[in-house]
Amino acid sequence: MSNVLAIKDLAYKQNRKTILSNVDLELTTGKIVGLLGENGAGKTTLMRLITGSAKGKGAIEVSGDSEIAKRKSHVSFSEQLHGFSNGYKVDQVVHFYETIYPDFDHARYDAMAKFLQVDGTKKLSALSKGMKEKVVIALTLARQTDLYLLDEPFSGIDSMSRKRIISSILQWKPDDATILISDHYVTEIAPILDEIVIVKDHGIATHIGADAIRDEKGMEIEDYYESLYEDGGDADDEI
Amino acid sequence: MTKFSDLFKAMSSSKFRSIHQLMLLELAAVAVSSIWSLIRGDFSSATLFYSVMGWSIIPYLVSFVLLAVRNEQAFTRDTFRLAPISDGLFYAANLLSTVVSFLYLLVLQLVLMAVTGLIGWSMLSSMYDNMQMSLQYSDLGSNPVGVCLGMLTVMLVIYLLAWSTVSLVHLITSAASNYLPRARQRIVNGIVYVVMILITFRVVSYLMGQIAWMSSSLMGGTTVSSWWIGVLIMILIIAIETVANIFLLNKWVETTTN
Repeated sequence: MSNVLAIKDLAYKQNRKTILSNVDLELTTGKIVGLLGENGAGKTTLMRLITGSAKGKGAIEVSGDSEIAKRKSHVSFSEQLHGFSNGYKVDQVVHFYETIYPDFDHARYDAMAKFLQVDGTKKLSALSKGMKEKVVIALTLARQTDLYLLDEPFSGIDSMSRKRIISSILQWKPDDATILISDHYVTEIAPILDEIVIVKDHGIATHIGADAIRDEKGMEIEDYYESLYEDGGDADDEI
Repeated sequence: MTKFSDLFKAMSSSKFRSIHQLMLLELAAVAVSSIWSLIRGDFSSATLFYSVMGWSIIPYLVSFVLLAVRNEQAFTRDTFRLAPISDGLFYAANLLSTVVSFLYLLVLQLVLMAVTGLIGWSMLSSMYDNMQMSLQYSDLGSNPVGVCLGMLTVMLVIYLLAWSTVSLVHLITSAASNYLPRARQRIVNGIVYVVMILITFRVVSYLMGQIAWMSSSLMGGTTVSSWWIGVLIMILIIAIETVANIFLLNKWVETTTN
């Protein structure tokens, strides 16, 4: 399997405060990877560095491309639609996506929107938090890219919506694409993960397969994740 | 990769939306003031035209600010910045869509003036004849199309200069805010704003002088070549600011977080 993401010696500071340093990470194609860590650990920052939305130091390659514009064409990020005013309707947002992303698959979006019960005629201002997240997920997964970055897709939404979103991720994930999902609630996503990456102390504390945790360590992902914080140290596990 | 034309189309649609909202407000204002004239009993066929002429200044002023806000939002919102396109083309699509939106407003205003002018033509025709006669005795009368195009060019160049200067101030403060400690951010932002406002005042006063001089050149028949030099100076400033803005976008300006 080839690498979809290769990060080498990545560092990022904001307001002179170190957020990430010496980050090395490689992800292979076709996986669902959990990006775990406490609030403020740097999960969102790592995703923003991958998309080029944040400017750090170090090397980032997505599908072999390091140039930001090309990298963006390989990555679909779950951005929260802040560029649209509340008067916009969901269908108008979909049209915007269809216009600027040549890899946007409208039929795929329609199928997901139907599954997630998204009403395209509604204005953004009329959407609940859960419904907005469903729109974001459908828009993000409707693009045909190599790497999907889902930033805390389950925060603040009810369990039924969570289950539907998880089902949609499994159902519409292209076989050769990789999905990186960040979250600090491990239980929600643990069953669908192939690997986990834990961000802690400004770096990658561990990158390990879900099977290795269960088979070799005899632990559930959630227990393993919590043990890292109880031990207070790095796990030194690397894939 | 996103095509320039597609990004331009997507960016224009949100700006056109703002222009439509402004036009609706203007039409509402025209309707209210015309109804008021009707109530007072001084409504005539030319009332709508006068009302449009009176209210049209508001959309011009508000659209400048509104389009500047939309222009700047695109630089720091993931919705736009995630488009897979180079920063240079991104900047060009953004600025061009702003300019086209402003031209669209101009066209809509002209249509509105033409329609209301036709409605009140019976009353306005004598005023038009008087204006034609007075124009014949001025230099404007010898080449009205050229003068109008010249004024339009000057106006567009001034607007472009203003928008790119606003972008420069915004991008400098945005880039600086990521690197400086939070405690000093406000101080530095304050200093940058004060410096930029001072520079802007100088530029504006210079421009006002240029405009006055250009207007007198156009009307009074001084050399056209010296008139173009003023325009070229402004274009040069726009070009320098464009290079600086693209560099800032590429190296330092981040989007706001989700």
